[in-house]
Amino acid sequence: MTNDSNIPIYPFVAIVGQEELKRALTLAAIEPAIGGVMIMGHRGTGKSTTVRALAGTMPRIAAVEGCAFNCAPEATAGLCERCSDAGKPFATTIEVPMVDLPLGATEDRVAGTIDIEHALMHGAKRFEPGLLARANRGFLYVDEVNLLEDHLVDLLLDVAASGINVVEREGISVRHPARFALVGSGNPEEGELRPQLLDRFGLHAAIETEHDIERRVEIIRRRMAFDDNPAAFIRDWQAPTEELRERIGSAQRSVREVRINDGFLSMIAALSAALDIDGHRGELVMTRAARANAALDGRDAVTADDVRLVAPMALRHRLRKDPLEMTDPGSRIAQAVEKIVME
Amino acid sequence: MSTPAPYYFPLTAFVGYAIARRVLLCTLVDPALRGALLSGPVGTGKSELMRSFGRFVQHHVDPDAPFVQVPSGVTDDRLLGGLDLDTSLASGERRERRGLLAEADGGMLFVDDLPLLDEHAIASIAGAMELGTAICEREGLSVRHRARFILLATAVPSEREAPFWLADKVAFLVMQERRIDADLAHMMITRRERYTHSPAMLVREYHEREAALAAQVATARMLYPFVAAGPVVLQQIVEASARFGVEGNRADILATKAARAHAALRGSRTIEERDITFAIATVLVPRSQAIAADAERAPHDRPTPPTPQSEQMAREEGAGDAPSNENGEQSERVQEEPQDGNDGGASDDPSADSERVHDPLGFNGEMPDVEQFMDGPRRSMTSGNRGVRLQWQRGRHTRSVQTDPSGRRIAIGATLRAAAPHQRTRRRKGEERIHVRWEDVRVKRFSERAGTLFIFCVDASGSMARNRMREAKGAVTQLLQEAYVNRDSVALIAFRGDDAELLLPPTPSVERAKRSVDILPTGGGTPLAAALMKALGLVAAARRSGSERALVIILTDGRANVPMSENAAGMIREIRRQHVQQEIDRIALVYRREGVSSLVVDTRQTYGVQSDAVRLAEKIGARYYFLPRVDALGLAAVVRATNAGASPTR
Repeated sequence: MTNDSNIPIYPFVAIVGQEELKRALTLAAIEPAIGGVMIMGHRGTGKSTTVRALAGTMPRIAAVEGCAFNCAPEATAGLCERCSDAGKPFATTIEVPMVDLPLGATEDRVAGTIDIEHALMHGAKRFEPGLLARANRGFLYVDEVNLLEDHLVDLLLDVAASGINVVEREGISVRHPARFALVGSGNPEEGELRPQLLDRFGLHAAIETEHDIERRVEIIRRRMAFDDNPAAFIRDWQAPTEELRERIGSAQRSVREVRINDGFLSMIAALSAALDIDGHRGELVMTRAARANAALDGRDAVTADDVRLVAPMALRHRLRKDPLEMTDPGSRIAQAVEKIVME
Repeated sequence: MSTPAPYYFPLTAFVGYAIARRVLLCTLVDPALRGALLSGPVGTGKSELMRSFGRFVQHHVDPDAPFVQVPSGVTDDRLLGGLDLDTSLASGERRERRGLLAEADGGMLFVDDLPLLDEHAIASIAGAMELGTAICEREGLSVRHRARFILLATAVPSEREAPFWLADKVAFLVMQERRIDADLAHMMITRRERYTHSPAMLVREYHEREAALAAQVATARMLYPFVAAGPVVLQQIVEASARFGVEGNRADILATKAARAHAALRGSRTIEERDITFAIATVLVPRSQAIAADAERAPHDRPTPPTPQSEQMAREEGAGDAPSNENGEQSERVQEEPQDGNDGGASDDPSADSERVHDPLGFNGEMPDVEQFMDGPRRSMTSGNRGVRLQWQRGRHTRSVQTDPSGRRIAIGATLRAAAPHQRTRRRKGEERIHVRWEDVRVKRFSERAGTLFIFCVDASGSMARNRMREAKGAVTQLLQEAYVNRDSVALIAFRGDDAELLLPPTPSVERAKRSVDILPTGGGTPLAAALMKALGLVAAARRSGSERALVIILTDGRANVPMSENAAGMIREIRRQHVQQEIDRIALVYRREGVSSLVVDTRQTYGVQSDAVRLAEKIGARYYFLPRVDALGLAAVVRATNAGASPTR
C-alpha cells in the first residue's frame, strides 16, 4: 500500500533548496513525539514530491510478521490485541509505513469497519482494519489538507492526540494502536485551516517558489535527468541517500539521551511567552525538535543554534492572528529569537 | 473498450485552433505534459475539438487508447470505483466495479466545463494524476488501479472561479479570448454542414492530411528522447518564469518539456527560439501572477505575440494546414493565431469578463433580460437552521433509511440487522451464509454543514469611497477569520464609473481576500444596477452549485445615476434618471421573487427617511441598516446578525 513499486521515487537528498521543509520532515521522522509536519505553500513547489521522497529514505523498522498494525516485536505496550496475547512473535523488517489519505476516503475505510465478506459468508463479525491501522508507527500523509472533510478532520484529531483508534460502528467495537506522524500539505489560497487542526501539527514548514535563477535551472535539470532515466538517477544519489539514512537511524537511537540543560528550557519558555502563544504544545515541540536536531548532527547536547533553528518551525503556526494586521509572522519570531536566544 | 465509430470530424478540418491543436499533439509526444485546458466563450467548438482529437488518436495513433468523458455531476465513487452491489449480493463475495479513472488508463480523460466539477471529484482526478493510480478506499474496499491518462478539459471563463489547482497539473492552459471572426466561423459552419450531410466524403477529403499528421506525431515521439534542453534553453525559460511571476517550479519543468515536444513535432532535434516562445506562451504566461495583479500594465510590457514565427509554424505544420484550394484561409489562420493562448491575462482574471456580462442580456436599447440569470436547475434543500444540507454522499452519517440504493452509500450494519430476522426462512440447512435481499438494503444519510456566501457590493464612487472600501475589506477579513467554522465564503464587487467589477470572486480564503486589488475611487457615476446584476449572477451560480445560502450586502448611499443600457449616454438627465430607476425596479422584482436575502447598509452622513438607500432596501426587500461611521468590526457584526436571522441591534 505504501510505496508503489511501479512508480520510481525521486531521491530526498537530490531535492534542491527547501531546506526548512527537509529539516522539519527529518526531525519529525527522528522523533515521532514531535507530532508531524504541516506544509503550506503554493502549488507546484514540490510538497508532495518531498514527502514521498522521505519515505524512501527512512531506515527499515522491525515489525511482527503479518500484523496489520505493524506492532513492534520487542514492545510491551501499545500493541494490538492479537500481539499482546501472542507468545514469541515472528519478527521481520518492513519499510516505515507511509499511508496516503485520499480525499475521497470514507470514514469507514479510514477508521476500519466490519469485514463485509466475512459477515456475509460466515455470519460472524470481524474487524477489518483501515488506513489508521496501517499508518501505525509511520506517517499519514494528507495532501490538500485544507480541503479535508470536517468529520474526517475530527477523526484524525482524536486519534492523533491519543494514539489509539476507537471504532464503534456497524456493530463493531474495537480499540487498536494508531500512533503516527501526521504530514499535511496545503495551499493557503484554498482556504483556512481550523486552528485546532493546525495546532496538532508539531512543526510548520513554509515553502516558497525558488526564485534564484541558478537554482531554478538546477531544479529543472535534475528533474529532467530523473524523468529520462530514473534508475540511473537514483543510483547516482545512492551514496548520499545511504549516508542520510545512517544518520537518521543513529539519531533515532540516541535522541532520548540528548541532554538539554535548564538554561535552554527557560529560553524556550521565554520565547513562548514573548510571542504570546497559547498552550504548551509549542514549548514541548521546540524541546523535542531541538534534541532531535542535536541528535541528527551526532551531538549529545542541545546548543543555542538548535533552539534558534527549530523556533520558527515550531511556533509560526501557533501565533495568534490579528485580522487586520499585516506584519509577517516570520519576522516576529526572528525578533524574539534575536532578543532571547542570541543574547 | 468499444471500437471507435467509423467517422469523425477530422482534426485537420478544424478552422482556427492552430495553437490548441499543437498543444494537444504535444501531449502525445510527451505524456508527462499531462494534458491541456482550453478556455473560451461558449460555442467556439472547444468540446468538438477535444472529441475529434480523441478520435484522431484512436484511429491513427493508438487504437486501444480509451477516451472517457467525465459527466459534470460525477461523484467520487463513479470516478474511483467502488462496491458492485449487485454482484456482491448475489455471490456473497465482495465484488468491485472499476471507476472512470481506471477505465481511462492508457488514454484520455475528457472533462467538459471543468469549473462545474464538484471539488471532491477534482481532488480524486488530481490525486490519480499525481500517482498514476486511482486509489479506492471506501465501502470496505481497498484497491488501486493504474490510471495514467491525459487530461483534456474545457472551461468557460465565468463568474465562478475555476478550480485552478487541477488545471495547474496539466502543462497547457490555452485561452481563446475573442470569438473567432465571422469569416472563419462561416468556413467552419460550412464544413460542419458538409460533414453532417455526407461524412464519408469529408473524411475522404481530409484522410491524407490526418494520416500525415499521425506520421508527424510518430516521428516526433521517436525524436523526443534526443531533443536536448541545454543550459541556454533552461536559462530562458527560468527568466521568463521570473519575469511573469509564475508561482512554483513545476511550471518551469513543464515548459521545458513543452519546448522539447514542440521541437520534436517540427521534426527538429534542436530547440529553437520558436519552441521556447510556444512553451512560454502556452505554459508560463497563463500562470502569470504578476500580470494578473497589475491590470494597468502598459501594453508594451506584455509578451509580444510571435506573429511572424507563427506564420512559419503554420506553414511547417504541413498536414495541419488548410488545403490550398481554399483561398485566403492561410492568411486568416495566421491572423487567428496571435489570439490563441498568447494573452497575458491569467484565465482567472475576472475583470476580463465584464464585457461578457452584458452580452447574454441582449442589449440594443432594450431593457436587460434579467430572467436568464435564474435559469438552471436548483438543488432542493430542506430548510433548517444555519443551512444543514441533507445529502447522500458526504458528511456525518446520521440515519439509515430505506430507499433506492443506486448511487448511494450502503449502511452495512443496518442492512445486516434488517436481514437477520429472515435468515431462518432464507437459509438452507447448515448454511452459514447470510442472505441479503434488495428490500433489506439500508442506505446512509448524511448531514453536512453548508455555509453562507456573503456578497459585498461596495459603492466605490464619490469622496467616501476609499473609506467604505477599506472598511468593507476589513469586514470581509473579519468574517473570513471564522469562515472555517461555518463554511462561509465571501465575494466583493465594487461599482463606480460606469460598471461593476468583481474584485474578489467567491472564496473562503483570508489570503485571497487580503490580496484582492485595492481600487482607487474616481468621480463619475454610481452604476448601482450593474452591481445588483452582478451580485444576482453570483447568487444564481451559488444556488446552481447547491449552496443555497447567500446574502447580498450593499454599501451605498443609494444614489444610483448610471444606467446599464449602452445607449444611455446620449440621454438627457431626467430621462436617464427614470431609466435608471426602471432598471433597478426590474432587478428588484427578481430579487424579491427569488427570495434573495439582502442587506442595505446606508453610509449617508445624515439619517433621512427619504433616503435613497431606504427606498432601495424597500424595493429589493432588504434589511436596512444605517451606519454613517461604517467600520469593519461593526459591519461584520451587522452582517453576522442579519445572517443569523435576528434583526441587528445597536
